[in-house]
Amino acid sequence: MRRPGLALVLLVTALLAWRFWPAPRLPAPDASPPPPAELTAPAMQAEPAPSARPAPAVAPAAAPAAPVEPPLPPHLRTARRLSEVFDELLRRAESGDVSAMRELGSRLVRCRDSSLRRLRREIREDSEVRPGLNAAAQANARRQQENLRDDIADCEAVPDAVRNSGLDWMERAAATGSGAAQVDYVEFAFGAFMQMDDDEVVAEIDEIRRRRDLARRFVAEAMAHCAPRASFVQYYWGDLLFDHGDARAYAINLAAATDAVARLDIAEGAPATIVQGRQRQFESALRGFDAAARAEALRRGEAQFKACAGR
Amino acid sequence: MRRTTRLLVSAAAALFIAALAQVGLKSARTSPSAPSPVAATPAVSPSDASSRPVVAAPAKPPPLSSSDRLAELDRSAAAGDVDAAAEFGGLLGVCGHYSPVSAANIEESVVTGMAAGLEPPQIAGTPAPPELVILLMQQAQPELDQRCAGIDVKQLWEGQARAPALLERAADAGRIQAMLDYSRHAFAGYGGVNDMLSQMDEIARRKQKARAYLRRAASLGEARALLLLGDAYASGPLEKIDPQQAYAYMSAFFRSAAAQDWPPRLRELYLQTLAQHLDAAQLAQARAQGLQLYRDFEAGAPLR
Repeated sequence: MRRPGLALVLLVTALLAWRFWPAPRLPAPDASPPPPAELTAPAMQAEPAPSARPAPAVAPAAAPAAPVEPPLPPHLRTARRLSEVFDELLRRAESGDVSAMRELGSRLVRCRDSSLRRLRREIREDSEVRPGLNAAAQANARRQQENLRDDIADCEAVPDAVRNSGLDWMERAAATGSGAAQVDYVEFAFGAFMQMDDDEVVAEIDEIRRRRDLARRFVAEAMAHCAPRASFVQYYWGDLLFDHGDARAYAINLAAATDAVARLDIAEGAPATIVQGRQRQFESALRGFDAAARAEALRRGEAQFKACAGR
Repeated sequence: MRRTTRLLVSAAAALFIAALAQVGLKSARTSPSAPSPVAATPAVSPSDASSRPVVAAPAKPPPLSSSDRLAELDRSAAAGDVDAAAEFGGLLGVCGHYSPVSAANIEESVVTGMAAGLEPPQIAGTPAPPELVILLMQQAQPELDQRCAGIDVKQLWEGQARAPALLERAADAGRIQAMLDYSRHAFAGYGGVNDMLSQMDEIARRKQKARAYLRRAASLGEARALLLLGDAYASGPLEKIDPQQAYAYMSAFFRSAAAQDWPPRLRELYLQTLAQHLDAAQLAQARAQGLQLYRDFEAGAPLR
């Protein structure tokens, strides 16, 4: 190989400088701790356990709980490799077994093209054995690489036509009205989007928006049915679930979802650090907005919490 | 040695990423012998937007320092000058990744990067041949040199997020160069996937706008829009990847006067690469479609 000349060295320097220069970012929510909050935030309230208190009239009426699907035979959930259970899961899912749809869908999501690309990239980037590692760490790194390769091979064994259908199966399960499946759908769909690169987001934007709209509907239904984790998912993915068009409405929605989860944390005896963290997020979401926005967020958060309290 | 290799790999990666994005910036020529018309200056005035583009006189480089020139463009754009918005937006989008580099150095970087296992850009879902990557980058470089020479690239990094809005304003006012630049830099300034997803409705809007601009530019007689549409069908993300459509648009572009100074080997290799994804019937159809696209383009008819 010829040695690069001076011009190439300059080129390399310039390109590296460009490559590693931080990309301009749009303003992000301020994550710094807020000033001490008034004693109306949920984390600061000593509330009775939810089961000891009936839901007040202001809370939105919760719909009857959605029917719970029968669980899958354990081997279908615990098998390490999709290839070991693929045929059985597919057969059950095609016959309308909602649990099988969820299991098949969640396993297939990891086999999407974008997920596999990411795994291959990880393998490539980690393939160099770092000189600083000791023997045990190197063995561990090699084992991880082998696991990644096995994961890829497992996915590649699935027929191409099915490999990218994970979210479709989860959508089908969620459309049956299963609250658990609806919550799963939101988590897996948004999780899959996060695996994409910039170009994939642009290329798939119409499908992403369709799935976002579905996720909004499913999370609303899951909340109405008081499905486990529905509040948490609404809070965790609030950035994608809530409309950003009206900044004030968005802030209130996000803060209300945070407040509802904070109340759940308190009711479940979560550590104080977690509760305080939620409170900081609540305050951060509403920074720059008036007291009426704060009051509205608290009212909605409380209503969301109380609608399902004790269920 | 190891460090040198890593540096070269990173450099080649950056070049690969930029390669196809840059190639569409090659100057259009209304005839093979015509002077290069439209690099940093708009090809048409607002009143020309509904007619065939007019070749502009070559612009003299302004005797200003990089920072003065950028500041002047920024001021003029803010005051409502759409030509300045087009030029400033173009510089922010296009030249932020610019680096002066010789043809030989392009070749060496690509070869070194490939040897180190770097993934080349994809064409229709498969890696582009190294020779094609080199030829595309070499084709793009002179135009970049012309457009970005004298600009201090560091002064552009902070402003890249402004490029889409500036270009959109100019494109809406009929500036063809801005239409082309927008199609390439509509998503500049986002801070990664998280950021893009949280503004997915805006992403969708920009994508639609970029697609519409390319068709509008083609209907106004801008052959490079055919090239960019071909590239979009070959590699995304503005269109769904479709080798047959890509072949049709690329072959239409290669028939145009604007492509006559492209190396024959580059044209041949690009079409060959796409043809590998087509059976005989699809290839025949793509050729016929390309001819029809070219005829429509020449007639100033909207693309079908």
